[in-house]
Parts: sequence; structure tokens; C-alpha cells
Amino acid sequence: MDRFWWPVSQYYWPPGFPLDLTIENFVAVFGTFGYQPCISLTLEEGFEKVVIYIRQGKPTHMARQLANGQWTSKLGSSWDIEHKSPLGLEGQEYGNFSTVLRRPIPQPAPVP
Amino acid sequence: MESAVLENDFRKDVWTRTTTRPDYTVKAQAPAGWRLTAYERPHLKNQLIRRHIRGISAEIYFIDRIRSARELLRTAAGKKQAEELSREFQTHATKWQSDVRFISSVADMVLHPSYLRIIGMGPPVVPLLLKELQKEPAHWFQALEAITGHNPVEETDRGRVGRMTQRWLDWAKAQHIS
Repeated sequence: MDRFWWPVSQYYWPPGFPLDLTIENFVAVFGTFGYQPCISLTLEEGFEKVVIYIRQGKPTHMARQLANGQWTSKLGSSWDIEHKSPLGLEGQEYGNFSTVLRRPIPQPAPVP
Repeated sequence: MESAVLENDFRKDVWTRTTTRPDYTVKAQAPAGWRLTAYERPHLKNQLIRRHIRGISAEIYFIDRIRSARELLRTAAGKKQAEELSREFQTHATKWQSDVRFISSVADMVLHPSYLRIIGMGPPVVPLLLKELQKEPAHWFQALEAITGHNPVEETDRGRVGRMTQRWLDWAKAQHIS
């Protein structure tokens, strides 16, 4: 992904979605990639997960679960880190994680 | 220093407003199809004239402010003022860059007190913002839009920081600001 996504003018936000900084808006956009809300943070075979962090009700950050169960985050524009749990990033900067989403890992098409 | 002349070509019934400044002239014609005679619907015509003049004023207001600042730089008092402005800008820009380097939310970046202060400095700070962008692409786009009222970033370039930077630098060049 070579674009900076955020629901503000000049930045990319998918057409048809409002420029509203709400958790519902983010969940709806993730929904277009097949992500659905779930409750568990643990690694589930066949699924990949993301979490959305909010502070004062506004989304601030996202993290994605890796195949090894760790989580990866992009901090700012250029820092990629791995952390054991979404709890590791909770604090003043990002607030708390609020929503967990998952989607089935796309399977490669069978070779004919 | 400044003159604005509103002329009406009565044969064609076309209005033209010419605004003359020391270093440039803006000549704008009323929109095509605007061919009402003063006797037919004067109230509507006057309203259109006022709206049209306001439109031109808004367009040149911002560029005017930047050019006034540039003029000011040529005086000793202006240079001192510019140095203070530049110093204050650098202080806030450095603090902002340091404080938001781990932040993902554009909303949080632009609501940082230093970023808001830079927006509050107004049009004279635009050349400094453009210089920062030239040095290193960063999220100065919202500040530029807030100050200038322009958004030269096209739909296809949204979110692509490198291209957004180039669009702003091209826009500045076209406005003779860079």
C-alpha cells in the first residue's frame, strides 16, 4: 500500500465513505476487504486479524496480526515494529484498542 | 499602489474588472452568458456584479498577503520581523516533527499545538512551509490548505506524499510564491 489512508481532505479514503473520524467508518472500510468484527485476539488458523485503537472515541491507530501470532504496527510514517499483544501499544499516544476484526486468509487458486 | 477599474463594454454588455498591483495585473471578465441590460433587471445585475467582485477579491487576497510579506522583507524592520517569524516557525516545526513521529492519525498530527500555531501565523509562513516540503516531504498539506484555501492535490494523488508534495510545489511555482 503506497498511499496514506485517512478520512481527511488531501489523503486517500475510499470513494463512497464519508470523511468522518469514527470507528463505524473505519469498520465499514475494513469490511470492504472482508474483515468482520470478532472478539478474540488469539491467533486463529485460517484468519488474519487487525485491531483499531481509539482515543476519546476517535480512531488513532491500527495493528495487524502476523502469522506467528505477533502483531505489527506502523508508527508514524516510517517505523515498523512488532509487538506481542495489542495491549503493548496502549497509552497516551494511541489510547486503547477497541475493535478486533478478522477475515479468512485468501487461499491461492489451485493449479489446474 | 493598487487600483481596480470596473469597465462595461456597452456594445457587448460585458463587464471587466482590472486590478492593478505594482507587480501584476488581474483582468477578469464576467462569466459567459451574462448579458442582462441595466434597464431590464438592475437588481439582479448589481447582485451579480457584487458577487463577481467578491470572487476575484477572494482569489487574489491570499497571494496579495504573501506578496506584501515579501515586500516587507526588503525593509530593515521587515527583515527583523521575518527573522523572528522564521525562528518561531522553526521552533514549532521541529517540536511538531519530534512529537508526531510515532503518530499514525493525521487528525492528531494537525491538532498538535505547534501545528495549529503555524497555521495561525498565516500567509507569511507559506514560503517557509514550502521550503520545508522541498527539504523533506512531510504532512504540511493540511496547514497549506488551511492557510491558502487551496487544494491542488488531485483525486489520483491523494495519500501519496511524494506526489502531494510535488503538486503543492507546482502550485506555488504557478503562483510565483516559491
